[in-house]
Amino acid sequence: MSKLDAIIILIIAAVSVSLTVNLIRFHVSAFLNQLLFSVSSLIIIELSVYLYGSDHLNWSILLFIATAGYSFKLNGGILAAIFSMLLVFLQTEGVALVLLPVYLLIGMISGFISQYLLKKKKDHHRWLNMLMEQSKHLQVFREVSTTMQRTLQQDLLLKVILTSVTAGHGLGFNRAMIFLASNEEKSLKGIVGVGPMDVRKGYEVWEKISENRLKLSDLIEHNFDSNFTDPELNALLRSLEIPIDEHNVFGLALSRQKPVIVKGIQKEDSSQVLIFELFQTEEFAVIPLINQGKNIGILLIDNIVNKRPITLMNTEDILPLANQAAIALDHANLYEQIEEMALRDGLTGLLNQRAFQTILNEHFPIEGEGAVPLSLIIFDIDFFKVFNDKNGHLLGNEVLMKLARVIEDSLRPGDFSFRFGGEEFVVLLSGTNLEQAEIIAETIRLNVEKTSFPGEKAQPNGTLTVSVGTACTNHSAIKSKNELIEAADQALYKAKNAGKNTVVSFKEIVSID
Amino acid sequence: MIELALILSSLFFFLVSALTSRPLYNLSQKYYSKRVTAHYGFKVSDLHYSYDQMIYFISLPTTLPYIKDALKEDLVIEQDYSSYFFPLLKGIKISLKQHGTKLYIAYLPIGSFRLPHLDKLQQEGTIDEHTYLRISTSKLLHRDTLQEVREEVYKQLQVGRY
Repeated sequence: MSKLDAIIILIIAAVSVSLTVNLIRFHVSAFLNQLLFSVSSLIIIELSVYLYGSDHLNWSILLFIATAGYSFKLNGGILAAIFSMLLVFLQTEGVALVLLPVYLLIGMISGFISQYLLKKKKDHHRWLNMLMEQSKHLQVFREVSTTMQRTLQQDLLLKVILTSVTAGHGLGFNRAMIFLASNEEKSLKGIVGVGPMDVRKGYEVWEKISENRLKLSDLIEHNFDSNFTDPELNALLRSLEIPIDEHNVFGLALSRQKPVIVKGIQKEDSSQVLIFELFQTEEFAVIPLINQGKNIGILLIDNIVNKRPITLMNTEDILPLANQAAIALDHANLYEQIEEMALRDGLTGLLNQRAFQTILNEHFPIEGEGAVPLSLIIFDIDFFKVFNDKNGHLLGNEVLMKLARVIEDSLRPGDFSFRFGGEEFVVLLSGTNLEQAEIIAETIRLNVEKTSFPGEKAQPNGTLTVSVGTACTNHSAIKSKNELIEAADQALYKAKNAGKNTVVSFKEIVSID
Repeated sequence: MIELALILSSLFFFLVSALTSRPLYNLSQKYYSKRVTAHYGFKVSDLHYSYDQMIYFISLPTTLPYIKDALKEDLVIEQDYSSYFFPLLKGIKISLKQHGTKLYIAYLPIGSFRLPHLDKLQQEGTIDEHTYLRISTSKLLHRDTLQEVREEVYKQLQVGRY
């Protein structure tokens, strides 16, 4: 065999051994994998001994020592050095003891380098994980902030908050519930929750989300339908009202303005017992939602499905989101209040002229679209000027307030009542024809007549009454909103002229005229 | 001459080990998953999965024109392994390669690649974390999964999550 042939044979052997061992070692345990890798280097050395004799064994064995050191770190390197010494002793005619410290040195160096590289890799991995985690939270926070800025609707805000807390690309908790402060911040009312009631349901939903490839926008929609959230959870949640008390975990979180993690139910805290009994969770976190010192509510999270423990780091991560949520919810609440104030009459609490125009525009039927009829009832108090002159405006105001309650009590759900001006009121009845409107108008008139109002004895007929005019869009003469108001107004005028305390409809006027 | 033969054979040994370890590791995960899933009566291809926990390093949807205008073909998916000789899949990196420069867009760690059916089996105690990891590795490395990940990332860059 020529020298070149010998080189080629050894290279082919090295490639073959390496390939064969690689084919096997990934099918076995990590330990055996490392052992096979080390042994394969020894096989190549033994092949060289077989081909060329053992003259070079005392230095070629370094390949094995280095490989074992790389595979099994410091201990592996030392053991391989001792083993190599024995092997060299057995396979060569004589061995110089001086080789042992050299082998040990090589084994230790390769082991140490391997250990050092592993540590570096682990550190790098840890750093990368931390940065990715922070990046993820920043991303969630950024996305949620953007979405929150786009709306002032409390419903949508609640959905965004809950979804970002529970979705996989969000913070990934199994379940989240929101309680909002009510009753002048003395108690917390369960509002809405996302997540399963039990583990089985949790996996069903999880499978469905993955199967359907649901995106966040889909989740926001679906999270609140019965396919994705156990309706039982929301029913139970909505029935809950927990007092804000420093002795319970909810009050504690709000007063400390810090999240509280419950690791086991404390029997002396009735709120914890209640949460455990209703939602079968023994470990949960209570995150306060506070804006400028005002208690907005509580976000409750748990991991009922995967039982992953909730850590301080988890609550730390959720805080920026909770703070953002608190601001958004507070703003939405204030906006709702302002909107309500802008659309309601301050004295009677009924809707005002501005609201009337908006609702009339929304419900006025558009021709040719199979629209439903819209009826309008307009009425005012008979002899109200006389009432004010005799009883004063303060009592007049009381009468207006009481009359507003009588009107509201006389209407069906979905009907709208407005204070049109002074002592004049309007009712809009969507999807109601004139005959039905007349019945409602008569009910109002009768209820007013039957109700006892302060100072009404001073009225010309001894009781407070109203005259009522009605009109409906299904009349051929009514084509516009103004015509509808005008027609009802004409009917009211007719009712006044007909002796007051009566109901007149626009069709009668047409028939009379 | 013998010295040269030993040095060359050592070099080839390490070279071949390093070059073949990752494909053979992938292959072993595939066969292992096939065997285990067959034992439990399901197929890897039937498993639903979630890449919901993919971490993006840019805003979604982005306003950066060079990312927004990127083509789907510009997105490069690379497997991230722990080592050359003892590889373990750590996750997949998605980057944008344009005009010779590479910009990292997203990363999906293998631990965050969750499969509901495996979650259920693990919770029941049927499989352990190690088995879960090997099956999920095999699923993530599948050509169709990687293609879907590419589609998903591209979509996210264009329209975002909301």
